[in-house]
Amino acid sequence: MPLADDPAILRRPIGFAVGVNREEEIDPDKHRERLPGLLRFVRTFAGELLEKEFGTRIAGYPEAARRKTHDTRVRLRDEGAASVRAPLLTVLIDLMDVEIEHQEASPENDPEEQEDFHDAILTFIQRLLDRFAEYAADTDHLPNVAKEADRGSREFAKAAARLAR
Amino acid sequence: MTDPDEARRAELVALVHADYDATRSMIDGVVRTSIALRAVGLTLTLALLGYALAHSSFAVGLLGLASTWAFLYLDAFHGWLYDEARRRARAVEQLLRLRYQQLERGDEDPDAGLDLDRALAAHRFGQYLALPRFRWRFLRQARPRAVYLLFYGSLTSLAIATAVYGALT
Repeated sequence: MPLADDPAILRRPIGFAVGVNREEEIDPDKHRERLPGLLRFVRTFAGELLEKEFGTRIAGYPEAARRKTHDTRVRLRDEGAASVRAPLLTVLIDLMDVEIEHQEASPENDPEEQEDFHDAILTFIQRLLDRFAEYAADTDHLPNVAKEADRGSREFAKAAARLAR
Repeated sequence: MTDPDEARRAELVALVHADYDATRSMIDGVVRTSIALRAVGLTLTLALLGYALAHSSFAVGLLGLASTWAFLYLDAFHGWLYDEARRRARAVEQLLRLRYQQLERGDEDPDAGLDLDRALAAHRFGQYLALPRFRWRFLRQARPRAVYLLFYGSLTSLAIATAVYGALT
């Protein structure tokens, strides 16, 4: 069963970006601290997307999910069906890597590592929204999701610019 | 024909490898020196404290305390160096990972080449050039902290107890 054409799947990152953009004055530090919360969105999103669109069921996250996502990517490549699907999978792998390294490192004790961690989340979520919008536009069963992902990309880009130091 | 951008990337990545090798050598050297320092420090301090106990000497007990703190300083200095090198090794590995991804993913990741180019442009070459001038406050960055607390904390307590014993007897 494919993904439902329900834009609610993107509620979390878009809600975050719209919230930041609506504020006249923003405190970048306060908002950047909320970024790790978006990784929880990635976990749910990746699970649904991989199962419904790619026929890959993931249980363990992030290590096992990373292996399975990588296997799916290689399978698509071997089948010659990579096109707009592979970029979507590569950014999911990048986000899983961020999560794996966050488990190992201790960014909360190290301001430099924390900043790198937050920057990586901003970059990869932006990329995920962009690539998902492309993917959804390429399929014929996700018109509403594609539209919302497109809006989300723009909102997120604005929010990222406002949060940039 | 060779792509000039790719050839330039390959040369830059080779330089990053040289940086990585320098960082790894520094980590190896610092770890070896720290272990040697702890062994010498422990032997010397225990010898001083043993002598102080045997001869009920307050002065030698104090010397044991001074020796503990001197070795703590030297060890923590190397701990700071280790932390600096570890951070740099992480940064360089991030860059090498981008190279790996760019080669492995090819067209499957349209941003891989750009990410690598940005990281190569931002990379500051030179392990030793990147090392900041030493400040006392940097000693707080020494890692692993638990080892310092346990090892030198125990030696300090022992040295104080020995000095007090020497003073009282």
